[in-house]
Amino acid sequence: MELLDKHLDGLLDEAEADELCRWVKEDPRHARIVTRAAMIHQRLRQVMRGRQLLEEAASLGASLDDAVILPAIRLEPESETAMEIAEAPEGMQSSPATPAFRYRYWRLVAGIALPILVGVALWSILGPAKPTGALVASADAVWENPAQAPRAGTPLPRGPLNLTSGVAQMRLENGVSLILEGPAKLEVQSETTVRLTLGKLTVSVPPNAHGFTVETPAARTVDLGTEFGVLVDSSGNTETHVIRGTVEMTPVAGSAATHLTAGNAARVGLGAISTQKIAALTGSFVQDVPAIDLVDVVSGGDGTTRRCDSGIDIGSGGILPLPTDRRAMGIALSRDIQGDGRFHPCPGRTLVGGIFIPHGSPTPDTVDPSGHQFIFPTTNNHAYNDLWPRDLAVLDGSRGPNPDVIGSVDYAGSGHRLLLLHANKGICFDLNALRTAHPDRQFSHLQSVCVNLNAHALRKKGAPISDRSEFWVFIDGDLRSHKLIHRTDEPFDVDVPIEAAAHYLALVATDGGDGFDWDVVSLGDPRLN
Amino acid sequence: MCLREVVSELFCMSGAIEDVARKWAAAQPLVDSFISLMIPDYHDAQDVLQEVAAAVLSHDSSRSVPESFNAWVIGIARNKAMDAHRRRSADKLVFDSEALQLLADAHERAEADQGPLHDAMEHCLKRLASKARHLVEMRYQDSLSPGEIARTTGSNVRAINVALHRVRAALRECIEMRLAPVVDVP
Repeated sequence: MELLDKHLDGLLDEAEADELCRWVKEDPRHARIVTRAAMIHQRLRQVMRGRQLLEEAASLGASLDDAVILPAIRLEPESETAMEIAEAPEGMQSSPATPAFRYRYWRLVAGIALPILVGVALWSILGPAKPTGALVASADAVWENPAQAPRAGTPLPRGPLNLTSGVAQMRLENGVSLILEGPAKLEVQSETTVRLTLGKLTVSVPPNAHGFTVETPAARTVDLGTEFGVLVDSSGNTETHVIRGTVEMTPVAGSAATHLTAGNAARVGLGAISTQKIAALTGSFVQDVPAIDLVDVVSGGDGTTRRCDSGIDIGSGGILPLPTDRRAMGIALSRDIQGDGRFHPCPGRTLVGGIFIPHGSPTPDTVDPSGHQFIFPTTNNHAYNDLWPRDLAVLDGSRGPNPDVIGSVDYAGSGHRLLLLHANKGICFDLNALRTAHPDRQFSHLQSVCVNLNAHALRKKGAPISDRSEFWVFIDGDLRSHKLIHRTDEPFDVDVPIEAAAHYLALVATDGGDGFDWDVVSLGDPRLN
Repeated sequence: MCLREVVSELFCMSGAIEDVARKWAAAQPLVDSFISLMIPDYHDAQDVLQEVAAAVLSHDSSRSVPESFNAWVIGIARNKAMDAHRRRSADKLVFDSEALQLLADAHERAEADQGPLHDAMEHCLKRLASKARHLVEMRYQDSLSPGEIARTTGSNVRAINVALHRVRAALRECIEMRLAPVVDVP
């Protein structure tokens, strides 16, 4: 009843109060209904205010205080408090018809109750919750209906997605990642449910979206934590393989759910009531759509050849082979290049738009071949070292043990790439050329880890302390990301969306205005996804 | 008495205290819900909840806790809420003692495991269209009154109240669909 609603808002008059009270006493079920509604309202309040009392209860001991103290934590006292006290007598003196709590109505009461009677569905008023998500990457993806094919950076089209071949990765707004391998048919029904009628799907579920469900003709698989793959063959038979975490698989025709943990798999035949355990083959599910490796591009590759054997002269744009002997290495590592204020194309690299050494204020620097300009803070107009696809100091042994560990990943180790942008330098990538080189791939994000690698460097006596450096990302001259980095700052993620029509991506490191010593702005696995 | 003092006094925790504390943490939503039926005002209700917590946790553990923990704490809550109501208002409570007993019983038997409800709420909140979610955020996170929401969004109070009612109805419907139906005990 809406009466309960009004009661929890403190809006009942005496007649209504009597009616509600009578209703509760009428039938034991009514008390249960009121209780249910009150609990839901309490839960809504709690969820919205972010109080996770039950999670505190789960880990007592140190958090005992929390479990008990939390209710004692008040929200900020409202400024109306003084006013409220003044009004109280008024409220209390009012006629019996006015409820005592009415005067509190204007006060920030979080009490609501959900009406007992099912009301008009909200979606018709404020719009249904549409499944939202977008394509984030694809490799050699061929869609049955190209006109309806998802495009990077744009919301997923409604209706079934029919992938004839290749791999496509989509991400939903709640963070769920779906990698579809064709031939496959997938329908994204909501943020929590998809229907796979054919093909292979790798699902990765963040903690807030647990309960994500994949429905197939034969079975339903519910995620209980992290990552799994579902395969539907042409007859509708379904297999689920768990990569990480736990899922629950239930046949459509049956009701018994099977718990599956990491490294385990099960199969439900179409129409079958039971689930049978099978050998897990998690490696057969695509877990990562290949990205465009920017270090490979700097080295002369197309982003997929894993090269890291040549660099770019930051003064001229020319190609530099990796130093092979100690003498060449020593020269390379001590190179200090003065900027000439010009943007230089790289004739030897069609996928690179060009390079430059930013001088900063008061005049602008050109950041890409289109001529887009930006006024950086004043720099010393020098770049330390050229642009290399590796950490030469690691090759040389002069950086010391485990120097290129960012987070918990050793970027000098195999399988990883490191791009050192020791201030001051900028490199521009030609996104159009990259798209031409990869007609069947799409990318919509620049991703990387970034840090000043010299956090533990020793300072030479008397050498100036250059604590600050800055990292900038431009798309067609438009600044999309910027970070002022202090030498000992923790690594941070770089994730910059790239629209489908973007032409140039520029990555720039400047010295922060306090000299460029130790400003080793480094990008771990910089890639386009 | 400040709650922190109560807890630190009990800091040489015996197993029994931990047990009580754990049971209290699990029962708290039930008690919170029950108190809010007696005292709709959020802050007054939270004050009462604190008092109940203090009483529960300072209970002499050498004396045995009554059979049903939930019944016991709800009983404490009922008394404290009654006192609080008398201190604040001359009006009678909406629910008389008979109705209160029915509600207390229903709360006592309410599901101990709040996990599913919590998950259902999180899930259903996510399914709200962004306008609806924004409305809920304004009401519950920013704690704006419907009037203030109306002013912020350029709407009128009546429309906001109607919209809020509808969001709640939709949330409730969504939650009910996700949770097992309440079993009717004859």
